[in-house]
Amino acid sequence: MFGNDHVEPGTGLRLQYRKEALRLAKLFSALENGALIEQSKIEQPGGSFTHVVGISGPPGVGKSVLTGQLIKYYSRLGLKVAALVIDPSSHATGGAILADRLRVPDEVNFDRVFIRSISSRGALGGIAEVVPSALNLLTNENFDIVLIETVGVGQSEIDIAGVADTTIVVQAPGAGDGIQGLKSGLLEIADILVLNKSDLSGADRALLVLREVAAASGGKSWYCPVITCIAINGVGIDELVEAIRSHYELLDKNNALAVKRLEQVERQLCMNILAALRKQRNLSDYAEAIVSGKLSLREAVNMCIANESISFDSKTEK
Amino acid sequence: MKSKIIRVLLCNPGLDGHDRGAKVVARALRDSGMEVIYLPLRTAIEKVVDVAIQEDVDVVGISNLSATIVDTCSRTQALLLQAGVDDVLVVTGGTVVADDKKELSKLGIEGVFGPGTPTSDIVRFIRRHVRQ
Repeated sequence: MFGNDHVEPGTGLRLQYRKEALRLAKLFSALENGALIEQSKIEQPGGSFTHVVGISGPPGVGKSVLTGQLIKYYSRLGLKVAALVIDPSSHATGGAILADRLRVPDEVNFDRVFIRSISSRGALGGIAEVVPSALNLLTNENFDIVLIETVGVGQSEIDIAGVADTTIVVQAPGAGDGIQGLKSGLLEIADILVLNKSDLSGADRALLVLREVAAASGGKSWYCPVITCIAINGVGIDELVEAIRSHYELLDKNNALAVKRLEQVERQLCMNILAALRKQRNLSDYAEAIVSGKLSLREAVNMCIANESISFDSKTEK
Repeated sequence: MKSKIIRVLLCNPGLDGHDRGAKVVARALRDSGMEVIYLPLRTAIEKVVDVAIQEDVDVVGISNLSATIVDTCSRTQALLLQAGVDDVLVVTGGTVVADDKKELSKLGIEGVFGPGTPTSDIVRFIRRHVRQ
């Protein structure tokens, strides 16, 4: 019915998918261990971009369940779907429990879907460092849609907007003002707002608040819709998918996707330059010089960029 | 190059419905600096293998409280090998009788952790035997 044939276990087709997945998974691991992948596919406006959809929001609102439902929906349409689910690592030990896969519905045909659990590995802001390279990889591999589900605390919601084409912020009814963990910065980056668990009490109030916020952020070419869902039952998923498609259409029409890609590449450039500098320069030397008063911060920055090393017996004079 | 973090898949295939043991192990592994991918109860072996591949795990930990432990482990290994995965350490735990331990040993599975095993033993075993 859905055109996504059930594959018998152990048969040639499933084995083929597994070998494909293994190849991709190994590439992914290489990225996590420091390799870099550049985007090789040149995308033209009107051509098929890989749509990157970010899903963020405070803990406990049902992001994982929602992501699972979207995975199921898109894979049934026959699209090639990838999902990156990011969980926080322990600052003390560096380890992590990555349990978001728990929420993926059983019926999802894993053969069309690549899901990878990622630990933030201590990255500031919660977006694991590997994400931009991973997105390049998935684009090169012709995935139709990539869902990124983030941690949902601190600044990570803001960071997701830097890598996603469409950013979904999920909320759920809470006590008090009707919204759980409402943060203005968070809502500003939302392209789509979702009120999940809309069957809980307080939902009406929460909906009003979200609608007000969405209305206040208007005046651009996109009006942020507020979608009510009961993700665990699949309620509202149709509307959400339609909103995602609609947003993508707008980006494509305005050539905004190409502009976004440029911004994202610039950001990657910045990140990689910083990483290279860290590796190639001895930053602790400059830091010591600043602390001991031999150099000002600005002098240190300029010297570092110019790759001038510090000689400790001389003091720069102006 | 960053140092490689050990990734472990924990699962409870089969029909048993208890996973408190697996959760304790999951926390211990995390506290020792590993990344633990945790699958729900009663996950089919075919799915366990799919996930093990996608997540490129170093270790598959099978928690089994029923009598099918040897069969489960043997099938898992076979499916992994069939897909070209030969560098995953399979360990298991739960209630394992002596006969089963022997059978598992024949399969090359030495990491068998019965009830009451200190989690530090599990951590140490994994560090020693994982292929990096």
